Amino acid sequence: MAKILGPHHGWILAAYIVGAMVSGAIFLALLTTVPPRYRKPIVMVLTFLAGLFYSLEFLLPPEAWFFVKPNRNPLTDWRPFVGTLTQIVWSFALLLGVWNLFQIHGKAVVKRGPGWYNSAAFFVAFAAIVFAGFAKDMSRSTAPAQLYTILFKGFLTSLDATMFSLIAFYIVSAAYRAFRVRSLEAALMMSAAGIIMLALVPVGAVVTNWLPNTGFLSIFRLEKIGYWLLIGPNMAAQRAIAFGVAVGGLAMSLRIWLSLERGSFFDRQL
Amino acid sequence: MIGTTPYANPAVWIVEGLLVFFILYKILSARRGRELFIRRIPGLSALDEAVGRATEMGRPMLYAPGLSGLDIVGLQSMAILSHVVRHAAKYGTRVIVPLADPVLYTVAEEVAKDAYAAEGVPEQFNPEDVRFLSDRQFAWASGVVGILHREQVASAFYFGYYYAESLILAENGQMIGAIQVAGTPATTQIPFFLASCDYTIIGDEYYAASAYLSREPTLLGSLVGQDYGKLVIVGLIVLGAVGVTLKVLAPDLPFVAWLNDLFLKFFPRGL
Amino acid sequence: MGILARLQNIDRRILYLLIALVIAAPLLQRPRRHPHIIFSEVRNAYKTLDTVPKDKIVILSAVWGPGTRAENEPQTEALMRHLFMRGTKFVVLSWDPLGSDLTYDDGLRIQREMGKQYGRDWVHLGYNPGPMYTVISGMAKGFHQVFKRDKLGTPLTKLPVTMGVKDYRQIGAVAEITPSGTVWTWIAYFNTPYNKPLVYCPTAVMAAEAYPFLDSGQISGMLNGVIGAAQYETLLGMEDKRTYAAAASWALSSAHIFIILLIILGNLGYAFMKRKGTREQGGRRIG
Repeated sequence: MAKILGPHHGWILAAYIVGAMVSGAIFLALLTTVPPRYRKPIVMVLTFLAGLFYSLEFLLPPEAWFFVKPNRNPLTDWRPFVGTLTQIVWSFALLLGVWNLFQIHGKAVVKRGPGWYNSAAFFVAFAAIVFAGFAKDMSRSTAPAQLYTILFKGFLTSLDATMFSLIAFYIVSAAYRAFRVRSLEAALMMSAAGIIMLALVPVGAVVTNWLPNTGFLSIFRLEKIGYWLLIGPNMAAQRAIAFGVAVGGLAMSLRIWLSLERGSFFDRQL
Repeated sequence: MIGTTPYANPAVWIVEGLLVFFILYKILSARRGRELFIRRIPGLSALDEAVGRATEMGRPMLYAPGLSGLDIVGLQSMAILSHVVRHAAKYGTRVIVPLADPVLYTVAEEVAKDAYAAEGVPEQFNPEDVRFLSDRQFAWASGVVGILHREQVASAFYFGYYYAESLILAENGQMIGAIQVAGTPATTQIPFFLASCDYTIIGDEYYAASAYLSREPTLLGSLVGQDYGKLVIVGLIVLGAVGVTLKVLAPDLPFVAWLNDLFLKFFPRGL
Repeated sequence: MGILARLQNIDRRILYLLIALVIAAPLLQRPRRHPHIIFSEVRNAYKTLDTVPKDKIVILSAVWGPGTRAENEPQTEALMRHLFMRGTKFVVLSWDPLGSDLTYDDGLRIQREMGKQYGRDWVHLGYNPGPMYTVISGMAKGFHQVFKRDKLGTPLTKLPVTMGVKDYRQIGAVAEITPSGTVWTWIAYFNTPYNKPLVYCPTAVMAAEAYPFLDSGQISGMLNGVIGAAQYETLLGMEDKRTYAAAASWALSSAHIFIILLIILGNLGYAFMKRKGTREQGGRRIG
């Protein structure tokens, strides 16, 4: 099996790629010939088998595989392969996403509607980074590598950091606008927020530095109150939400695995 | 130590088994026609209000599934998208859906198409309204911000997995005066949505959304089963707290040592 | 409109200008002074990495990219410095294509400062597209099956740091430096199953949800954003050095005070308007 799945190069790799595409096309064509009333059961069986792999791999420890000598879970060896399959599916979908971008921006450029030059900029940027990426690896000259550095490290890195920096401004306007003490609960929340904000930064330590470090009065030091808030009420609330989200996630996963999920996407005719 | 293997231990089998049992039992019982109660979730009730507002103002809506991929978070977002699009289709209001995951983009396109078809107006579906922007977090966020401002959306829905871009989107929605409803299982982004959005749904209310909106017996039954599952977890927490407390207060009681050893055996501390 | 009433309607452009000045001033001035109060989770993180056996390596798992560079880069640098100081070999594993170059540049810079050598003292494994759970669980069983070459294309079997690493047994600890919720993957697939310590270095906003895991011992220590990095530098004996982390901790201090003042001003304006509204209605509350 390792020989079949193992890394291949050259003509053998090309043959594998072509073979996979042809087999995939034949498989999809066969699926379309299946009568409609059998399509959903096929999807249900495939979904169940796919989920069963991960369930069995995790739920059954090596000792349970008593018929395999020495006791080991044979499904664990296949986990990297199954993970690679999902990556391949994602790669195909990425092509679809890029095609969608080409369609939308292509139409905008052709129609010359308002802001069409932004769509033209998309094509210029796309071509530039694709060219720079390939040329950097294929060319012996340093110019493509420099272009790649300018585009990738210069533009993309700086733009990413800039967008993230906007959050600093937005949190100021959001906090200023939204944090109004309208009730007792709001007052408690604001006090806790203020204490935590000061406790986590050096200036907070300065505010209550005059209190002793030990003894009864030390509990009023800002960093100690802040720490208690984090390991007391915050931790309890985070745990509670985490349990709820985990159980909700389990329920939804179970419904999808057993094809019990309802909704327009799941109830549609295949 | 039993717990420290990459595989399930007996505690996982028992707890997970109980959770699965309650969920499946309640699903079957709901399918047999048993009436089940679900409390009001203001954020989800506000979805229809937000659609109505966009219709009155004659401006489009935006539905952003965040950075979710094709996982349970993304699929739940698609269930809510279906509900929103169906309501929008009734009034002829446009819904723009910018996506960051190419796989989810294919699903969202089908969901939107089916929703318009289900309301008898398949011609209203505009393929350009469901678009893939970028899988880079901030490239996607800046694209969505651009859409918010250019289209001057009246209502914005943020349902999915969000990271830092949540505040960028929500604040820009605030700037244009859009009514905003948000829901995410990412607890770290809840404070930002709470500060900037009109309605926010928190934690496992997100997973309850499809049951709440559709009132489908299977989904409602699953929701009730989840609550029973949470009771199991609460029971274990109380048992553990009692055991640890008695270990300090009354260590000589016969069952105290046994209870503590049992817990440590099946739920070991990390390190 | 009175001044108090205007307080709850300050133009956001003025707010943005003020916050930019409040944050920029300490960053430009670069105060030397490091925080002298060290949180217990930062101490535990230091102790965890300080007690890694010399024959084992540490994995620095860097999920961050340029967006969160301001918080995660000081954490990465502080950990690298500590490991170089101790002589503990480490590998950097990057999950972001842009972050891969940034972490590599950081490693090179600190290696030069501390007289260390690439390949002998540290290795960068380059960008890994994931999926994370597959890579982590595969690496635990067969390191060289998952990672074949480093960032520069050199086979790992030829580098002193990695040639002896076969599986989880040669890995002493993991430090996850991340702006997203990826630490649970390490906890589920590596640290808990194989009993390995985990140091968590999140951005400050993500730190709050880590406390249950700190309490249960699944995370051994935590660097809470750039403040955690500044405190870690204090533990490394760098309290008199002009570092970005120290400057950022003072920038955060001034920003937090500014936001608190704004909230107080906004609430003063709100309270005043509310009282005025009640008085104008003859003392009756409306709405």
